[in-house]
Amino acid sequence: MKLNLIFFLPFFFLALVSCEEKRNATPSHVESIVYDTLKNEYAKGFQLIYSSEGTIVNVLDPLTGELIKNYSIGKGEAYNVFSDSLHNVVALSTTHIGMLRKLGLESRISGVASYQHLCHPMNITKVHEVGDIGMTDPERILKASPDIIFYSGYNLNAPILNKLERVDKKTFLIYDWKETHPLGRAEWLKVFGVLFGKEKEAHHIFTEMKTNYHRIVTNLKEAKHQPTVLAGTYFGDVFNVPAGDSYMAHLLKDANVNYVYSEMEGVGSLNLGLEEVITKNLEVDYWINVAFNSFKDLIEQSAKFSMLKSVKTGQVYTYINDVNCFWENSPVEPDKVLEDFGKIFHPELMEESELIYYSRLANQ
Amino acid sequence: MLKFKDLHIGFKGKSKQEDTLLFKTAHQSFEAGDFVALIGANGAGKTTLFNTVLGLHKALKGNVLIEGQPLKEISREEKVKFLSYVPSKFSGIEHLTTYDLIALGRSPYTNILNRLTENDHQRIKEVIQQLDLTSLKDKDTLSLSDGERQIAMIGKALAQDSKLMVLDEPTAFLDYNNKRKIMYLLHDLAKKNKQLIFISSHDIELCFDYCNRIIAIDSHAKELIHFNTPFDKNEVIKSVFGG
Amino acid sequence: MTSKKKYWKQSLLLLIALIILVMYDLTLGSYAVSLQDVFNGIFRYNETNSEEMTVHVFRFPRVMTAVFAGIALSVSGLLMQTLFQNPLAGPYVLGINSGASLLVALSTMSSFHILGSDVGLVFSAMIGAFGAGLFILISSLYVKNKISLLLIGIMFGSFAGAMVNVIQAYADPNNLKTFMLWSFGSLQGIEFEELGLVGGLVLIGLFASILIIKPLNLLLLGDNAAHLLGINVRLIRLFIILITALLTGVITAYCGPIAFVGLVIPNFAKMIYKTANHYHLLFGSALAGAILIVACDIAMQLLSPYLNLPLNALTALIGAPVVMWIIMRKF
Repeated sequence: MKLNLIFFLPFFFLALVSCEEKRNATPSHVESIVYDTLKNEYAKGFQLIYSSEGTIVNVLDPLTGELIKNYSIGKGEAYNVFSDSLHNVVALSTTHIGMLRKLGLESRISGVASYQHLCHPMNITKVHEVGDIGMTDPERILKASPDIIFYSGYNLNAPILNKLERVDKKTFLIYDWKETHPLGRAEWLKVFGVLFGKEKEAHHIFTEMKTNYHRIVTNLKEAKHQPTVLAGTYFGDVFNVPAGDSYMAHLLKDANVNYVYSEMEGVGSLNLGLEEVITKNLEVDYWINVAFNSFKDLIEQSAKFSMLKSVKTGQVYTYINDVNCFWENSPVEPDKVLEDFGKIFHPELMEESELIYYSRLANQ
Repeated sequence: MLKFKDLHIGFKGKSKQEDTLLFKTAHQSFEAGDFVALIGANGAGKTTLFNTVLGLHKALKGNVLIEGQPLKEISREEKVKFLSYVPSKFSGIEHLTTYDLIALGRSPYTNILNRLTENDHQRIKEVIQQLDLTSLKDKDTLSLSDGERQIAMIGKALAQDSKLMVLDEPTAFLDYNNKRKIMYLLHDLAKKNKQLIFISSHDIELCFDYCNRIIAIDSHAKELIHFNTPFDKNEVIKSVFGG
Repeated sequence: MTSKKKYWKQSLLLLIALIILVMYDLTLGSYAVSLQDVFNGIFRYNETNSEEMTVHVFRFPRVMTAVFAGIALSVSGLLMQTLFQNPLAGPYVLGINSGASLLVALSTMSSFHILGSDVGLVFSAMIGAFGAGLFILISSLYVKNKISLLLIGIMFGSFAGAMVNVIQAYADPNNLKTFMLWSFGSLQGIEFEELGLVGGLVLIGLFASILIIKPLNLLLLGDNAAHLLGINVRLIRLFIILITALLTGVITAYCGPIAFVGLVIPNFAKMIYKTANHYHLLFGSALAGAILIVACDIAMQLLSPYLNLPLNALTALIGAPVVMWIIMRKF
């Protein structure tokens, strides 16, 4: 026993020393690279760090700041290297499609989750239907020969992600939906800009949109009266409403209205009872984001809805008639949504009255 | 009381040619007070004859007559006053006491809510007395022994006050002691209550001891052969099993 | 049958318990309401008083729906268990609920409409329930073994459920939502004005069941024995299916499919009444069923600030362990 120990000891020493040397070697190498982190205007879910080597994209949890993923884009020898030109793109969420379209990259899409949810129909010979990320069939994704696969990360540990990595397919987490600020969500356009070498366009489009957004906000501030607004759907005997710090609540605040649950904490949605929602919102002026496109269907779900003033006066609006385009485009065009809100809640301040995504419920 | 007239027992096929005849009999007659056993080899048609007598199965030809009336013309409600039935095995029903079981036999006489009158209760008590079930009357039928259950079922048939009691292999699932007990009881009932008791059985020896009439199915000749007591055992056995 | 006094006493106790639970449940909701408001809301309704309005529009219909559903489902369950001589039979297990669901799914989510209106929905559910019942009944003519029949019912239920999934996959999202709400089970689907109709139908079903108490008792002995005691077994079977279809259909139409009640409550009633006489079991089951669903509603109301459990989840949470216990005791 003792003999073995003596035999191995010198090797052990040697290993230690060489490690030591390596550690002493690195500092000088690191000091030579300059990292410049781009300060985001609203988004909290990503960080763009520029350097001479390339760009690092960190994807964070907007609420906690925790680093979820990081990607290196550029010439360096880092692990997640994306090829210069990404020709075949699989977009598993429709918001990704909207952003790609904004940058004129729609033709690069080779795979979508489902044709059913598309805003504009796509050429089915060119674009494959690969299924939701929950589906554990990587072969369908491979059929689209992707250079990059965008996913939303509702389930960060989806088994398919591992499988794709094993066949050396690059996946990229787009955490835009976790942003609670409407402009923050749109700002993710910059991430797409970095990936496709279109930073300037992305920046330009974002700035234009942001300016328009602020213009509308300022305009709507002129309103003399803040109507009360209820938002949400009744589903499974439970009423689902956006919480006070959520994306929708932000939009409503910017629209200069009194959202009835703006004081309730939370960034997601709240589950409330039917009795509570109806008895507390009898006199509310507007109701938006219902799941039906006609009053008849709405009342069929529950006759009790007819007690609400918003229903009695016909002031119920929904995006259900344009649901695919709404989900695809509104994240990158929050100014359009705000414009719709302006037309609904403060029509006297708006030049046009035609709604973009929303529509009033039909009488039939 | 019970008559078979030109009775052909069997199964109807798709056409008259395909009918399966098990056996036939030109004439048989049974009176109140008779304790009759039907014997035959397996598959000879005991169960089929039984089901025909009970009105559950149609005869191929001929008639079963009860008190002069053809069985097929007796309505279901009327039939209960003539026929009572005891199955070969009763496993008990949870929460159904012996008293309750016997009371079910009074159903043909009760109203829509199955309410029992004083008269009904009286009759049930008489039956319990006669069958010596007093100590068991409030016991759950599930917890009775096989023999006790069989007796309780007979009690239900008795409470029905029918003229004819039909028992399908009443001793099949009982131990030897209980077999004798039941056969003696039936013999006694036939005499005392002036009922016609009709059983099917494989326990031919016991039939010799307790029954006063035996009808045997000769599957070879496809005939029903009738024997009166005293029985020539060899002749009886030969008629059923040949040889 | 034997001494009836103790059975009536038990039923009376259950009735008192039910009344107390109902009154308590009426005070529960998004905010507390006094008993005086409850009384006014039901009998001396003044629209402008918000507490009374809450009681009249929300609470009273919700609690009465619980009572009606409890009665209807447990009576159906009792009838099914006697018909099939199996303590595990129930309208849900035998696919009667699924049949109703399928028809409701067809009429709400596909172009196969029967009648568009609300009456159409109830009608669809009842036809679906009746159709499923008939299927089971016809199967019973070909299947000798009662356990096999139970399995056929379960398979039918699964099949109908799968068909519903297919319809859902191709449905218009709007209609899909209507259907999905329904499948969670809800006690809030009946309005005050409709209580009369639903209650009336449930009472008709209960009354019809009372009319066949004697045949039900005799069916316990088996089909042949019952026949030989004067029962028209075929007719009674059909009658039982009709009553079950009516009761299950109505409740399933307005409340969605509610599981386990029909299965658990009749067994529970048999356990506490210790009789095989349907005269007492009917009332016992009806009362116990109403108590169960009202109790579930009370639990849902008390839990709702913290947790929103759909009705079906609660009945399953309570029901499944009880079913397992029954099986362990009996088999």
